[in-house]
Amino acid sequence: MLLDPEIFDRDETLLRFDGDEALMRQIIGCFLLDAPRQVAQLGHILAAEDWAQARRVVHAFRGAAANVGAGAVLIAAFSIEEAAGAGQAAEARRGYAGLVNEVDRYRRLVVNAGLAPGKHAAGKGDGT
Amino acid sequence: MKTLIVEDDFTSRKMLQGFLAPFGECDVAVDGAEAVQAFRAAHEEGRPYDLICLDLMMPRMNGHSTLAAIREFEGQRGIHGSDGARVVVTTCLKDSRNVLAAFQGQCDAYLVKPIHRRDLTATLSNLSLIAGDAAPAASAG
Repeated sequence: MLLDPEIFDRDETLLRFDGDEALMRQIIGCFLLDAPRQVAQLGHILAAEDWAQARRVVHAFRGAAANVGAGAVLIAAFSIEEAAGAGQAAEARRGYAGLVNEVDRYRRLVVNAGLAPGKHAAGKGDGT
Repeated sequence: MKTLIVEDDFTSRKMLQGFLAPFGECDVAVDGAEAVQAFRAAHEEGRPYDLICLDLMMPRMNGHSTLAAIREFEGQRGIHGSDGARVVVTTCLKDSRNVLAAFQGQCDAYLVKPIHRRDLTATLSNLSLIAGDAAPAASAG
């Protein structure tokens, strides 16, 4: 199937794994396993307007998203990191809604492409 | 090669483990404080780490403080320069302030995420931790 490279850049990601598709799939699985927890945690932190903690958590999540070629997730996470850095609550909330959506789009795309099992829950948090 | 991966993010930890496992034993620490404990324990066991992959932004103790603690511990034991652990910073932070601080803190290399497996392998080779032709073969998908 065709993959939208803005959601998941398979070619670039596989290149970073030096062609090791088995390892790439394994790490995508790790990301999908951990993402719901991270997204939910971030939601709680943003609701509490703990900007320093929000920056640290979203920064770690950004690294994870970069590892698995989740470009749109990466952009959404970066917008939250910027908003958290500036203490902009409304921007952070908008960014968070976008992040939840992009994590779900990424999950659906890689599952439908057969790159990950479909048992992982969507990246829905409950904070803001 | 004995490696300590210091990284608070699960996915990044697993990826580095995947990249480095073919070269030997890999331990993990989820923050700087845990890393310093592991580093000291490895020395006390007489089996210190050859390589430490160190994230910068972490809870409890960040990467810069961790690096300082590691180099201070080595200095107290008379371990200097290439006799110490090779520290490769692995981070999303690419601003000059962090890069400069890491090298002033005596890191050996600085890799910006997302990490490319080939860049990491080349770095290990440049640091004489592995042979130049030691890249692992990709497994079939």
